[in-house]
Amino acid sequence: MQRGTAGPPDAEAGIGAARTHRAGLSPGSDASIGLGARIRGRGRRALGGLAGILVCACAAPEGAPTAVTISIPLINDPILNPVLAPDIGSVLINKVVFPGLVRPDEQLRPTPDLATGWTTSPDGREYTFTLRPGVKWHDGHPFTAHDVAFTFDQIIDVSSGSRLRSDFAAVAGVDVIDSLTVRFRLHAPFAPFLALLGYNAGILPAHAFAGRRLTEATEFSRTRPIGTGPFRVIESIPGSAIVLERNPDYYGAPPKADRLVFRIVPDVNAQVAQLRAGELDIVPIEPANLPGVEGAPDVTVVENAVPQHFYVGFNQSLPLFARPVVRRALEYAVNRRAIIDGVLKGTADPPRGTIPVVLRDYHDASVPARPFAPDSARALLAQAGWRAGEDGVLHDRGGRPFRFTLLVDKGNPTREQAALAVQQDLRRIGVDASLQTMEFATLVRDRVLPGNFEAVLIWWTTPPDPDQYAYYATGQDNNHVRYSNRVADSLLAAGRATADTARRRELYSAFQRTEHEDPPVLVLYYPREILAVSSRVRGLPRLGLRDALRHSEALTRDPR
Amino acid sequence: MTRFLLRRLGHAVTVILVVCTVTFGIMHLAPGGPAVLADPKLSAEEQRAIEQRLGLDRPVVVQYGRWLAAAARGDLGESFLYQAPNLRTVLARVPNTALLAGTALLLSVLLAVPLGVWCAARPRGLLDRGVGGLAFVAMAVPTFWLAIGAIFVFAVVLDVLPAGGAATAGADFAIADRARHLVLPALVLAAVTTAELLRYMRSSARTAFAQPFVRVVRAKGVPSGAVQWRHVFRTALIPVVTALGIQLPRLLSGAAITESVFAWPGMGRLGVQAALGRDYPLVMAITLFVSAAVVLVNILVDLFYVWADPRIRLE
Repeated sequence: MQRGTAGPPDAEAGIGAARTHRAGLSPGSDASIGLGARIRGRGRRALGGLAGILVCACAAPEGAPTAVTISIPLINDPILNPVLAPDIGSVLINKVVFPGLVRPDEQLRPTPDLATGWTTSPDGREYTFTLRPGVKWHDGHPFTAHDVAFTFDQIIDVSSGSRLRSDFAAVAGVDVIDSLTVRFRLHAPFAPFLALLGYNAGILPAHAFAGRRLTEATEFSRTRPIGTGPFRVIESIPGSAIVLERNPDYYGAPPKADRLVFRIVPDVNAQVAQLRAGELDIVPIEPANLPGVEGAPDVTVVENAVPQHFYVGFNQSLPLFARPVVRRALEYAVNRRAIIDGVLKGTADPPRGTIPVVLRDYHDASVPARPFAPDSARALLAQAGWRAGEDGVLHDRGGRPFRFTLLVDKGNPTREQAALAVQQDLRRIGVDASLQTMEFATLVRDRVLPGNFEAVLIWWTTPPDPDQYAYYATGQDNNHVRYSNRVADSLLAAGRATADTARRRELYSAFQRTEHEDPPVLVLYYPREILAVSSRVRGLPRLGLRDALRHSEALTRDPR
Repeated sequence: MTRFLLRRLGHAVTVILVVCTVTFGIMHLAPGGPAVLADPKLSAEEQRAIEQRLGLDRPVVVQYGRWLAAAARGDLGESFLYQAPNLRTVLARVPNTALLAGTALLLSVLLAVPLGVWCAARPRGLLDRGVGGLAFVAMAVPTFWLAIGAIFVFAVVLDVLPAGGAATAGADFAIADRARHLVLPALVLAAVTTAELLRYMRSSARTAFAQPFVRVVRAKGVPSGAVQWRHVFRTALIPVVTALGIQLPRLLSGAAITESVFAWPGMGRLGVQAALGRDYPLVMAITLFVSAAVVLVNILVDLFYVWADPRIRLE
């Protein structure tokens, strides 16, 4: 097995989806498994009779190599509607079924997809898209500008059940100019707009909903979605699998595989076992699963940097964490290199601020990274008035100890171990953090969203754009750590209002320098997504799985 | 008989009501909330819109009242996670769980009952010791470990059985294919039940062997095989069938683990997922189904007593 480290990201919204990163894909289990006469494909299999089966643990089945199938795991039944989909698994399959106006290339830059081109008004508040002619929906209807307008009307309507509204809060309205031209009106210039169009905003067919709410169209979102993508859903077996077949009318390069199967496999260990048994082809794994696949024949491990940053967030509405000097000291105190090497087995990049390396145009490597230096941490805290008490814990001038609770979500060994490492490092400089684990949903809903925490280990997955206004600008909805820095506010505001890449690069470089002096969060690492892939799979781009799947027409696998 | 059934049905409805009420209460008392709302990116406005759409903005008592009223009309609501009617979601899974749990139960009974009687006939014999030892191992080993181990051996190393799923995705229906997928999960699920049932059967049969009527039968010259199977067996069966009725909920919860590891699309796994995601309507729908099944099986067990032991009369 080889390992690579490649670049581009895929992102995901939110700290979301704890159970996450496994979306899996796996290729072709086509050849699977029958007994006796198994002819694959649509094939029928000879009935062997129970006895035969029980006895016949013998002869591994050979499928006749007819169809090329790629199998990918999901952890639960997806919602086949990109506007309603709340979880990463649904996002993955929706990437295949529902293309958007643009899609990210291997540099994560938006390139034409359902739109062939676009123009921007000089004030940056209007985007006019020319749509690709001759595109057909999976049911044969023609794709037009009305579909685009319908989709975005739903996205920005808070009562529709839309999960994309915050992404597109800048959109004021969408006008149909003619059947192949649409114009987006924005409330204000919004630089991440194109990146967001290629992120989760798959286009829906207006005709399929005729007067019904999106949430009422159950058979659409569960069994019979209609998209324009390279594969269309032909069968959906609850709890088992979604089977997709090549779309002969696809507007792009002809899909290479005959079928894509998303199999529902909730347990990541079981996913790995299925990969090794040849029943899955592409499986996202955690560092803890590496020993199970390294050295396995026919399995390749690839790592792709993704736009995420994992961090310890300190609640800055508390006096304990309000001063930048304290947060700088905590950065010195935590040995992030050791966490990356020890806990993540090297599958992450060391951090420098909140803009991850995968955003190559914006991550500024010339900004200094704060090293592991416990002595500097002690010195800074001493300057700030902290003195060690007899119990070894630091106390401030008023005699209050430096003591707080660090929350982490339960059940993910990587994050639990990282939190433990942070706790131990802090103890060494006299800071007493106690750990509390809780279910991810509880953590977010009861603690993070209401701001009811002292410190929390969590992460952001972002679109492939450096805009972090919503997370780190004063008073924003997603600024759970209550970070407030005037300079950062103005840089972040300017960064999202400027379309010019060179200018944005300067702004975000300045933002990272500001972060160095006044860290909004203690970034622990930029993880790489680890995929265990069958060695027979070809055509998987060096992108995070979410973006890679928008290039699913290129996927194929060698015959057995 | 009719009166017995009517009374038992009355009890059944009460039990189900209590179970549902307690489940609903505990679910809402527990910290946290629906996973659909646990997205750190949600703004307060979006959160409110979702809560309103799902009816979560109402007081818990009102929510329960609405659920009861709807359930009484046969409307089990719509799942948060699946965004689809619960009745359909659950019904789609019932046959799979029935197949898996039924096969496992059948295997258990076929193995445990005769083995238990044999072991009891010659306590501390070679068979008794061997089987007893195996039974303890089966009870002690965690199910998920057994499941992963079975996958590793039979699907990865030997490559003779599929590692998961209930059928080959995308293939046409074929009994052989289904059966191959059933083998490992059914065996794993049966392991624990078999072991426990075996212990019950053995001790129950030993008690029966010691009873005076057995001595009488022996004294009358009945051959030992007939003593064992005609007389002891039937008497010994009663506590075992009771145990079997009690095993059902355990079988269903065991199925949740087995189903998760083997990616078996059953109700147990659905229940785990619903509970983890705090999908209130789905949890309630599953609770209703499972409690009804358990109550029903226990009524059947009562009826069985009459057949097994003529001394028992239904009141």
